[in-house]
Amino acid sequence: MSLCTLRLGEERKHWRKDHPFGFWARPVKNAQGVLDLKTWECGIPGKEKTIWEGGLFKMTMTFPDEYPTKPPKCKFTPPLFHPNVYPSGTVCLSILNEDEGWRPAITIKQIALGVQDLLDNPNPESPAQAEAYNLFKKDREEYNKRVRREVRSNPAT
Amino acid sequence: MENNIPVPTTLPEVEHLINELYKPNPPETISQIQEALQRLQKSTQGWQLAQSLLTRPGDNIKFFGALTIIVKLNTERLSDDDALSVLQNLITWLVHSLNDGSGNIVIRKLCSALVTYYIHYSHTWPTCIRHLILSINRNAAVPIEEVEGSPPLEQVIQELDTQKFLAASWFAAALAEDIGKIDHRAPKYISLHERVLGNANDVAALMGSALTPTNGVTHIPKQKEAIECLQSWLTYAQCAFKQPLVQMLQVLVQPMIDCLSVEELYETTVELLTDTLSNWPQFFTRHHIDAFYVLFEGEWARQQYEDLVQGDFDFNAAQFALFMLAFGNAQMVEMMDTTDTRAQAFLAGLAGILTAQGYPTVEDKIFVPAVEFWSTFVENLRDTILFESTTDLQWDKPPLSRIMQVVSYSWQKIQFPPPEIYDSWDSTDKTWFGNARTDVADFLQAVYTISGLPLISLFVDLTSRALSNSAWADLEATCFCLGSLSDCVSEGKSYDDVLAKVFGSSLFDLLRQGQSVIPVRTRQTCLFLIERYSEFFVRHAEYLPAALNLLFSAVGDRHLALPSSKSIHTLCSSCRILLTSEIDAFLEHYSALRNNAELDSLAEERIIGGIAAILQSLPSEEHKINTIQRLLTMVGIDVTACLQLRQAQDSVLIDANDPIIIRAFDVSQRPTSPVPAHEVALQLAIRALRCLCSISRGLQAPVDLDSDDESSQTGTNPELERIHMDISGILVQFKNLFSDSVEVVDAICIILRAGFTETEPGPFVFPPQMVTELIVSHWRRHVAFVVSAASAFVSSLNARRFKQHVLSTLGILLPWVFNLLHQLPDPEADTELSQYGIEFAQRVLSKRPEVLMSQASNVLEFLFAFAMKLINGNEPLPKAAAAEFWTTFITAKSDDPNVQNALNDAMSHLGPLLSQSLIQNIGGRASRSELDKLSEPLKKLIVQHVHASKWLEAALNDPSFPSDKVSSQDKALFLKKLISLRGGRPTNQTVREFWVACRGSSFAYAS
Repeated sequence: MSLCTLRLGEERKHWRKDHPFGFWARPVKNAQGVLDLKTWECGIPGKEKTIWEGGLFKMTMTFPDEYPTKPPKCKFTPPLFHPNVYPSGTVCLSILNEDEGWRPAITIKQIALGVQDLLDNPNPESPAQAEAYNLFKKDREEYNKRVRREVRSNPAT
Repeated sequence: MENNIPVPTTLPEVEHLINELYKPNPPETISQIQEALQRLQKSTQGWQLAQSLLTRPGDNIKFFGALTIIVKLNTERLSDDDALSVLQNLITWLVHSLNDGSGNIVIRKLCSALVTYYIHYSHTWPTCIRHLILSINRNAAVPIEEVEGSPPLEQVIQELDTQKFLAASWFAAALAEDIGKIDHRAPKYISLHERVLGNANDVAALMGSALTPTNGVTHIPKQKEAIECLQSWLTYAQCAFKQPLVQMLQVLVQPMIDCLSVEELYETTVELLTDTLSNWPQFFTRHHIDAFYVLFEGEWARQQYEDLVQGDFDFNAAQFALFMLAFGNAQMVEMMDTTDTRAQAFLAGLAGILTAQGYPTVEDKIFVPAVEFWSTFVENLRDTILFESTTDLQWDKPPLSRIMQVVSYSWQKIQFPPPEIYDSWDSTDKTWFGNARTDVADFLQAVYTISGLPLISLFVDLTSRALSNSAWADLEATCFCLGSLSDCVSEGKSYDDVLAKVFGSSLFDLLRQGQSVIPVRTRQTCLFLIERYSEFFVRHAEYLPAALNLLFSAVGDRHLALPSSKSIHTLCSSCRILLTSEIDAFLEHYSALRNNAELDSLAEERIIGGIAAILQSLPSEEHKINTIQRLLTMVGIDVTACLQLRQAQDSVLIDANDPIIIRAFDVSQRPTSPVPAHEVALQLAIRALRCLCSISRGLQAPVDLDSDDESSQTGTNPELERIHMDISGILVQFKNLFSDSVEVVDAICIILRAGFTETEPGPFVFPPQMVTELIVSHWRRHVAFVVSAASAFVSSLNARRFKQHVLSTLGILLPWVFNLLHQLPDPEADTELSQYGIEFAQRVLSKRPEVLMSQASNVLEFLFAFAMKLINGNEPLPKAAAAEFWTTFITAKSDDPNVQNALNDAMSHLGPLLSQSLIQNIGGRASRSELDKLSEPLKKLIVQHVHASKWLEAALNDPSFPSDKVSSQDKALFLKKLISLRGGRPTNQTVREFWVACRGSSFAYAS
């Protein structure tokens, strides 16, 4: 078994034993029903007491063969209105960047929590979509309104 | 921070400071005291100070003395003789402390100090455990040589009183813990680890004496301590993995198991056994496994298990369940062996855990770990089956029959409690409960991979039974389970026949009877089931009308509006062709819902979008036009109401109970006091526009339809033209009145864009002139959005059937965009406009360079200067857009020699400037996340232009280069590397390294 799948097997065990409140994450199953450990689907809940509260946002993590040397790619499906999410849905976050904050020791739990944290704490240094970024910077009221719409369309229950 | 506390000079001063350190003082005082004391510890008087402190009364004082010894041992190197005298002293102090009533913190700290000693001077103290035990037994530091010829260790240990035993245990535990932190592979420490192993026998004797007392007299505190010490040694042994050590520890497993039935030892022991089973199952031998079985089959375990199943979830019971699960996990292979009767009996117990009383997670704390065990079990079983390709598993025989038992237990467990109980839970309980249900769904999906169809049949039968018994909680749970399997179910007659039993049953009729019959939660889950199986309805149109009627009836219910409208949208979209004959019924449904004022706006958008999707599939053009007109008429009601309100005086207020308020605001935003008419008008405009957005998207041809043939339909249809006029009329009016609102502008742009990608004529595929006219008309605000839509428009014209309009359209749009940019006081004054403006120019340049290059020279100069300013600026998005513009510019090509000459001329003029900009950015001005974007034009420049090297060199050596952290050799090397990479992907890495070097955080470039 490759290092990549070994590690992902471990990650799965750890996630099952201990995952943060309100999150879910699991490898997808292929047509034969066999787990594809390199593709995970997960739900990132908005944090309590933030404008994202009540939402649960679906994200796909795709692990390259070189994982954990290289980070997984995280993509919201459908794409999310957020300053650090590309129009394609891909999340722009330093810990997910091979050249920046990625370290092989980072766990799936840490990634999920990192993305959740990003929701309410966008990084204005690395905008990924113009729409959310510009509203976030210039028209916070409208930005909040849009976020609430995202939450309503992606309810946690 | 300045330290106001001088280093103390006398012992009383030191003692005073130590006592102050442990008193509640402000943090800054404490850190000042600490600093003063640390300086003293590190000074040459440190040793002497420690000695004095350890002979003084007071636990804090002695503790600090022992701490000082640790600091000294870690920071100074002693001769062996000096070291040995420190050891003698340490043991002497320990012996004294054991006899003078010193607190445990002192004794433990002295043990730590002895371990620190051992780490640095193990060669002087090889038999540390034995020597220490001997010394404390004799109340004196005996000479090390006397270890030889001392009485048997077991005998000495027997003589230790409790306090002495505990001290020896603490030392042993600290030894394993601290040595465990030291790298096993480092050559420097190999001998240290070997010496530790030399003591393992003595440690085992120490622990064994407490765990298996020779005279049969148990002593709880000693046993407890021994188990804790054993934990440290197990952790150490797992990392060190030295066979002799492992064997010594294995001897202690049976005594540990025996401790489980002693109430005071249970907690420590069960945790240790559970952890070891989970993390290091290989540690246990066959003999141990048998002993575990004997334990689980015994009376004690039977009692624990009974308590658990009866819903006793106190710590002990829950811990026992985790212990069982850990054992089951460790023995997974045996558990899968159906011929192993003992394992099968145990497995039955693990299934039975799921029948424990109590709601999962809220009361039953072990439900989730138990379901996880069973998921793992099923996955392992499946892998084994796949591997051995034995497919003759029988449904009514183990292991499948056992798994089905677990399925049956778990679906019953995840039933919702009665509303009064559920409502009494807090949001955390509710979420955990929901997560437990998701875990069961996960488990069922795993089971499906082995079982296939029978699992679906099971839930279909359970659903039917629940229906006929009017057991609504059962119905909810079975529908949830069935829904969770929807992704697994493949197409096929056998599946559909089974599913038809549910979808063709009385379920839908019952659900339509409303909340008085079936509780809202059950209805919600049943509706969810319809959405999950929308593919089934595509294959079986006969069930569609009932499903859709049900969904429409649910939209009026506030709790069900969002899920049911979502299902309606999904079904309409995927079954559009099947539903065309029902379009009139849909319109009527929708019209009826609109008359019910409480229709939620998001639900309405989904429904109207669904209807539009059916409309898109109508075979007859006439029917299409007729239907869209009817839809538009309904939207028109809001438009008219909006315009009327807008005409009112500024001061007019609308009462909060007015029906128009209910239409304009959803429940959650509904005002309680009168609202200005203008505000209501705006909300209605947004609602109408959002409905139009949904219609325009619903009308888009599905992607999978064959659309590569360019439409030949160029003839005009007067009806369609009227519709275009109508819609554009609404857009223009709303734009004129409300383009202050970003939502309005955004929605208008979405509606415009929806037609850009279409290849066939349609209600939202407006003639290019109409779009152009609207784009360049007056917008109160947010014109940047419109520029962005204009970019998409220009691109679509190039690709689609309106190709002949490109030139005339660009002739209007280009000056309009440039004029907007020109009006900006500086390029960063409106970053959105700058970004979209430069993106527009980039698209024109890439598709039609000749059009861009034919602009007047002053216009072009302005554009280039503008793009240069953006790439030099600080706004990330316009900067990225400018980088892309320049990338396109560098690579722009034209077949027309005149245009090509113009491009070449411009490049030779702009090349040095652009090089300068790029180098300034890469030299440290840009932020790290922009480097990839900026590398693109750089790469193209190097590939495309012979002078690139010269330009870049000049830029690197320009006096304005932003960093003084790199030498001219570094710059030359950087350039050489860039050129040799010929624009390849590694350029980005080279750029990043150079940027780091220029920023000066670390110089990693020279390699």
